[in-house]
Amino acid sequence: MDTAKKKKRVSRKAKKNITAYVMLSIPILWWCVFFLFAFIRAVYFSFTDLRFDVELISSFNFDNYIRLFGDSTFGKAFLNTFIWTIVMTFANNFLGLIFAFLLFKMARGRKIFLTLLFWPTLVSAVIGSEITKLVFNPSDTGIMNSIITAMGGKPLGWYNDPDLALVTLMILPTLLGFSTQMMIYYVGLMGVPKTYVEAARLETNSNFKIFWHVYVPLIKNAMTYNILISLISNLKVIAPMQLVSIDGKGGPLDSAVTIMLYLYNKGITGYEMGYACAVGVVITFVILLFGGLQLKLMGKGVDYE
Amino acid sequence: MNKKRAAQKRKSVIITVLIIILLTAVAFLQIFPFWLQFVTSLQPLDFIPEDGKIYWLPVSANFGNYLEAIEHVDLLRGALNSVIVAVGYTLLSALVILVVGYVLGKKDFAGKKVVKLFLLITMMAPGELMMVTNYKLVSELGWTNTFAGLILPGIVNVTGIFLVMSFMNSIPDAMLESAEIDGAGELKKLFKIVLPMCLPVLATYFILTFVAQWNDYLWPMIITSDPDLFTIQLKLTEFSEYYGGFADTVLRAAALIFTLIPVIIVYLCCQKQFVEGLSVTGMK
Repeated sequence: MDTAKKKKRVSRKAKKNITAYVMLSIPILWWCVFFLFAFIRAVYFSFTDLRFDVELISSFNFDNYIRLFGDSTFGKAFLNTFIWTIVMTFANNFLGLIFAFLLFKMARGRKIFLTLLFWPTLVSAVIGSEITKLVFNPSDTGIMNSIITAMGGKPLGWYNDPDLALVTLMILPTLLGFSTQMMIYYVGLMGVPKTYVEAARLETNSNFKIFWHVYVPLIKNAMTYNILISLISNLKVIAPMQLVSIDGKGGPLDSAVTIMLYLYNKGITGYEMGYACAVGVVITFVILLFGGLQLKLMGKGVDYE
Repeated sequence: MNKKRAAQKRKSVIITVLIIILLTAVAFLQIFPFWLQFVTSLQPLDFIPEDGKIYWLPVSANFGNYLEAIEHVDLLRGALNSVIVAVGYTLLSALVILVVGYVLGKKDFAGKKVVKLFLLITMMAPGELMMVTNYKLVSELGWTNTFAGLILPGIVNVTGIFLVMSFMNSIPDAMLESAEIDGAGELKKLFKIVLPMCLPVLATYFILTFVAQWNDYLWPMIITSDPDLFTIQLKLTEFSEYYGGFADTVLRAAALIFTLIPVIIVYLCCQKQFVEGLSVTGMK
């Protein structure tokens, strides 16, 4: 009797498993093809000399990785990506947090300013790049150059100047790029219980102290998430460099080439698939390293509940 | 006591005013370049701007420029392609996230933890690493320059799965169990109970995904070379010289504003969903 019952239970459990996997079958299959297979293949290709136009693998070795070490453009791409990621992650999160807190402190009118400050999240990479091209046009008629000339300065080369290119590309994403972070910090701040703040008020009058010692620890989860997302997305940056620079390959003297753009230039337009995949594997390692390091450093947030 | 309260109130009003001034300045800085584009888009085509002068208003409003830009850049074709891709992708992926979110959120089965772990890894992994191999795969399948190639590769949307999964808590188990007792199969439960209850979260997903697809350029740029299949963003990047000189700048500005406006309208109508989508995916 007991074993029969057990058998029945087991078969019901098996049936449950089968139903679940039948329902998941197509998504899992799809994921296996376009994620897992693509991933494994990328790693495999990275050891080969595969080209898009020849489609013949004649060697399997570490040549691509050895070549990467001596490739000065890749070195430049790596450095640029690193600088870009650090600066943009800091800028977007710093401004996002500041403006979220200011919005939060407003007695009225929050809604209007949320609408006003959040819309830039809708600006596509292409449109943003067009705006950069318009504002920082290196010609004398560019908007920034007009302003500089009007104030008695000398027009600058902006994204055509190897020394200025990367900085120029950072300006608009700094101005327009913090809205997502701001909104997440804002939602986090709204969730901070009023009682903690009131309790802290009894101790100190300094708004800065309250901000730093009460709010910041309580929104640490939002911070960890925001910084992680910023790091990951900025390490993969490609759009401003690809769309603003005149040749689409990263500006004069590779001044604004990034790892992703280099991957694109080698693998998509340059036909060197094997080499591009090696670049991709390196990016993946960098992203995992940064992400892991950040999670380790910041850990989980404070939870008083 | 009353005096103190009055002083405090005055202080809070002053702070609010200061914040408003600062935020207005930032909002102005953000809008300013777009306003300049809008002004440029309305200038007459034969207008020659003075060197180094910034025009706050157009010398005359020529809305005909927009018609010209639409024709020259083939923007309607681009918009149509973008809508096909965005709607196709959003509907198909919505079906996927509904099924996967439901199974992961409401069912117990062996290996569930492993599936969830893989989803998490997928979310963190750089999809762009697979740019080259997926491009190769799509061309092996003969999907380059097709809508299939634009829509299908990415339809397992992991962020969407997490969105639906976190929403499953608000559907009571009892409801599903009683339907089961009444003899409802999985499909019936999914479409008669789960789907109607998930409509708010699916609406959020729909709006966010539509905008993301409308704004995307990289994947379409990789796999389409046929101008008839270019999405609207690609049409913008492929803007070619036409008149030469300032007239092109005007048309380019008009095309840009034309591309931005639908997204702004969607945003103004559905602001709630944008915030909700962010706070759900952001807090988990």
